[in-house]
Amino acid sequence: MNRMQKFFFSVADFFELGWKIIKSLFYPPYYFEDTVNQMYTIGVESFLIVGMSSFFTGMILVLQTGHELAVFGAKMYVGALASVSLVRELGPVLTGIVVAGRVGAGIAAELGSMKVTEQIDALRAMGTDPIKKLVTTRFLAGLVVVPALAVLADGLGILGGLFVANATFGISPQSFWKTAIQVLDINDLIMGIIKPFVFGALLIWVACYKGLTTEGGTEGVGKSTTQSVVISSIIILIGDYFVNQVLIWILNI
Amino acid sequence: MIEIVDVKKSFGEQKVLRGVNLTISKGKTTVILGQSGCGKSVLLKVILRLLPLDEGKIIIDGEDTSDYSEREMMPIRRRIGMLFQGAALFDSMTVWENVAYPLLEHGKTDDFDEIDRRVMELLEFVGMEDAANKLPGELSGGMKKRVALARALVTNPDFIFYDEPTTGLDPITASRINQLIRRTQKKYHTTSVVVTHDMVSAMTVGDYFAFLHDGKIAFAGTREQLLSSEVPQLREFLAEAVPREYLERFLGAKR
Ligand SMILES: Nc1ncnc2c1ncn2[C@@H]1O[C@H](COP(=O)(O)OP(=O)(O)OP(=O)(O)O)[C@@H](O)[C@H]1O
Ligand SMILES: [Mg+2]
Repeated sequence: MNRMQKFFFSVADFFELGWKIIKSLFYPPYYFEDTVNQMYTIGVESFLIVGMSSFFTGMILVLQTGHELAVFGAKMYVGALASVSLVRELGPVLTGIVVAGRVGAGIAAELGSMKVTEQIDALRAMGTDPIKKLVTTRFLAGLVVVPALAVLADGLGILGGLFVANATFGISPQSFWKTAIQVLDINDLIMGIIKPFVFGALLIWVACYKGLTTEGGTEGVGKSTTQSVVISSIIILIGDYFVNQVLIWILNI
Repeated sequence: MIEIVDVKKSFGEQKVLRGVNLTISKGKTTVILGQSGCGKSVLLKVILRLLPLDEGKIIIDGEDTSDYSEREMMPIRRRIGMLFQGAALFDSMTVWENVAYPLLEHGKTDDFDEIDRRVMELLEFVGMEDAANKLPGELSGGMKKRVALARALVTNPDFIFYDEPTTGLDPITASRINQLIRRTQKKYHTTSVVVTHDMVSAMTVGDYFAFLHDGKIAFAGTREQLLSSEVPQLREFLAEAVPREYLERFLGAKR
């Protein structure tokens, strides 16, 4: 098989996994406990790093735009600008990429080492469906937790902006907060939730796929982990564009 | 009974199984011998359909499973206990949880005490009761193997596949494991398949023997037939394994 064929086969496998995940939602068993554990793991593993990166992004955003806006005498709009960019774009994308690096890598490594040490085979041999037990649980957990993390990222980003606006540009926290909240409409919020939902699904799908198709011992696990992060980051950025397009079209904005 | 008919399996260009024909008799222990890398583990995995089957038929208790889907294989797999060559314990679970897993997953009972009793009974048998709360990462290779053995046996399955059950164990533990395999088979009339290089173990547990060579079954028969076989590769294999006199002690011996 040449590289091209291999590539198309793995794309087909990737979509097959997606189809299996969707099918698995419609018949028992459901591993509620595992799903809750996964939510906890994903949340705990990433909230600090997601919070940190968005907080500083919010600070930088205000720092950079504040000066420019001041030139036009529009300094007071800095809060509006920060909150729209965070809620619509930066919060979801940042969360997606950070979670892909943190949680996605972890999932690919964990499932990958389970694959190469025959633990996945052992599950199957005991009559457990590894898709249901390992993949669907993580997928559902991701669908819930990644949007929640994005909301946290939005909030902390705005907070970071608020500090800088106050310290550097002398904008009072109250007025920053007011402009930041007033500017948001329902479409921004929809976008701010749908995006991380899609990114969460994509990154966990990629990570599970990479994990389950790991081959070649511990070296293979390393490869899968790296590839999982690279692929999901790219897919998130590309997906971001398409989600934007679709939402702009649907919401008529 | 498991009937394996003309089973073929390749990995890319490499033909591992080239038409395996073998019948695993009900209630007996069949030992599969063969050189390292000849495809013994692959054969077990193909029967469980952990690896897809390229060609041929696998009939389990009269049920032709050859073109079963993953979902159709589930109930069949639950009737088969498998001891993996590399133990394949779940890293994230304790020893107790590993052994209890098949019971908790689809055992007949939810009664915790009953499950605990059964798990501890097996752990005691393999001499691992003190490690019940340890994680697999804290165990030696031989200890992992023993826990995996307990896990394979815990549901009292109709069939048990042992992939090198005594490899890497000291002679005393190995002998205990052999006794355990023997006793399980006697007590529950389990149909067992044992893959091993250890001729002592093979002679202790085996009723029937099969020799896998070049992707085919080059020999299948009783212990008497095994020792008098004219198949050259098998003769060589046995000659290198243990002294002839040792093997002959098992001839006609009551076990
Ligand atoms: N998943 C796989 N992908 C590709 N090749 C494989 C795979 N599994 C096994 N093989 C190949 O199949 C052959 C048979 O392997 P198998 O593990 O069955 O050997 P074995 O008879 O069990 O040997 P041993 O006694 O050393 O365990 C080997 O050459 C191995 O490289
Ligand atoms: Mg093997």
